[in-house]
Amino acid sequence: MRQRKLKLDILLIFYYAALIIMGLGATMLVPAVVALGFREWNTALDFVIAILLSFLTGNIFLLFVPQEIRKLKLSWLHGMVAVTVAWFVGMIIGAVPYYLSGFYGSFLDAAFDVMSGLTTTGLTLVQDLDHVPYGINMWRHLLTFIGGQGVVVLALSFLFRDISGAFKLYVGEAKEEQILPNTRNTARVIWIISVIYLFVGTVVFWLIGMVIGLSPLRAFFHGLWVFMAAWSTGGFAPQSQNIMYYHSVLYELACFFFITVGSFNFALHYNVFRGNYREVWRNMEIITFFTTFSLLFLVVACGLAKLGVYTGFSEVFRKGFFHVLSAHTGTGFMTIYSSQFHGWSELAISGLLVAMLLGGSACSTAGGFKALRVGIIWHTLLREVKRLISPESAIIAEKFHHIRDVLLEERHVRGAMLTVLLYIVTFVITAIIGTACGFPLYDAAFEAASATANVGLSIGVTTPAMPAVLKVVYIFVMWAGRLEFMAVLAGVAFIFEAVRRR
Amino acid sequence: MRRITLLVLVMLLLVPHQVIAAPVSSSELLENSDYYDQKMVEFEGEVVGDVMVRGKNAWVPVSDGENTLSVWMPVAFAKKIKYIGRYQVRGDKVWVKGIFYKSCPEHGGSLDIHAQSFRVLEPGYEVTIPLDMSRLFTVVILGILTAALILVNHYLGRGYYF
Repeated sequence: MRQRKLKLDILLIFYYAALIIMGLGATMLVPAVVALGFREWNTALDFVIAILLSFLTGNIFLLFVPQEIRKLKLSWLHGMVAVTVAWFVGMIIGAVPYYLSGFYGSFLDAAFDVMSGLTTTGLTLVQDLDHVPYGINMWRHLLTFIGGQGVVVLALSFLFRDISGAFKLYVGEAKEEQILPNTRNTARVIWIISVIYLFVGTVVFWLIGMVIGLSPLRAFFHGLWVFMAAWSTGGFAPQSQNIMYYHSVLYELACFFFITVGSFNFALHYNVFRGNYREVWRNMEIITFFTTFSLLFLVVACGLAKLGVYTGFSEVFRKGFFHVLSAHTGTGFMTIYSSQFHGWSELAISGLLVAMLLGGSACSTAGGFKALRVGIIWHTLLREVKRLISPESAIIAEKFHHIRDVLLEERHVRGAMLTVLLYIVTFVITAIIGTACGFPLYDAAFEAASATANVGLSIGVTTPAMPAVLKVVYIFVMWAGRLEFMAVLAGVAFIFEAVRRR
Repeated sequence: MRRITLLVLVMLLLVPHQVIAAPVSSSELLENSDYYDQKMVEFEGEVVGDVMVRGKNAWVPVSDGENTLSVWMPVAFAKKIKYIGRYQVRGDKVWVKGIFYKSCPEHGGSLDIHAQSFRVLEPGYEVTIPLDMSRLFTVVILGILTAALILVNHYLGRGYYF
């Protein structure tokens, strides 16, 4: 009986994983078409190979799943594990065109970049980026854009017909807020908001690109890609110098705007789209984000002033402010070289490290602890202080505003504390592994924070020459951090349980 | 005493930036940016990406294979560039002599080189990459397998149609 239950669980998980994998495979049509447009024949063929592999894998999974099992209701475990499996297999198939392109030293490097893109991290192991085909660059940035909104959100929006328990898949991808009562409509709202911004953002970057000296065609593709990376708080860029390549205040200002709004909660975007502008000023996440951002910018500015790294206002703004915002929103855009971070004071680096760990908003494209959880922990602290100074018989109620007024309950505190704790534990373990691989503690900690919180800023640890074991650790950490641990833990628990039952 | 101090200051201002002879690699410049800061350096590499003209000057990204550095040069220099390195294009190999800035005050603190001399060492060229027949063969095989499996699933009632 237990064996049969396990078999049913596996089949159901593989069914939904198959659909998500085929959905991800279908999106490769976009870079394939771009490659054809630029006469990059071999690159186009690489994408066709990967598309066929995804459909072949998906159909092999489907072959074993009878119709009656497909109608079974998804449990939380199924949803979480299906997402975990889909992301893992998606990483393998998504890495095929990267690997075949010849711009990656190994398949592991290619898989690393897919996971980095899907999780909107932005750390990269690509070699000779300045000569990469348009098709590959399209895939790098499209992966980030899809990953930001969520692979499952994409599948729910356009692929699945009727799914009982779709919310469990949606939550598995660390998006807990149901903007509309129906999960499918919520997923569609997320995509509609993103596509509207995609259109506006691409036009903005396109125009600026032409003003700063790019040809119209180059300006368009750079605009599209940089917007995708900015909105998804991804951090990839089409050239090896990242955002510094453009040497433009206008381009950097556009990045400021789009990485900031990209790190906001989709529920907040939806409210603003519906005319509820007051929510922006009242929302606890926004207040928390701007408070922590201001404090950390002060720390970084003091750190930079201490060593006199940047002295003028323009320099502090374009380097200091830019990187604090890039770190805090989980983007990872850079306007300096990785090695230049070594010239920053330890105070400035510490400020960036904390900014990376804090991250953006919940239900957004950003990673890290998330402002919602930081706000909840702050309100919990306030509540406890109030309790201490109040009479023992007093009932202390703490409220916060997030879309609506919410009474702070133990479940909020427990959830926030648990996730933050998991982030910290993961960060510490990753930093220790980095140190064990021979990197200085400060560098290892910086890179660990960047990978765990899906940021993408690099102090120089992430290179094709880094030890393979560290690449594997970073892949796992980016994956776990993006799915906010629960889905990955569910996957591990499921495998453990399956082995135990045998 | 004041006059001597003034004279020394004027002389210091008139003395040209210290010159580093022979081309320096980008890694050397990045790793020892304090040492090379505001000194005249020589740098060689391939022009990649885009030449971005800004008024009378232009930004030219030059890659020596290790890193890409931005070179700020007069448009007259930039006009000598014929090939820009991209996919299927090997850019002109150029030689630049100019002042290296670790944190350029003119450009918002960016690390760059302000070129004073410029030369194209080797012209670039287009790279023709022939269609890979083994890839095409793989596509055909995978296509047949996938189509067969979709048909099998359809026959068994186990397919999925988007």
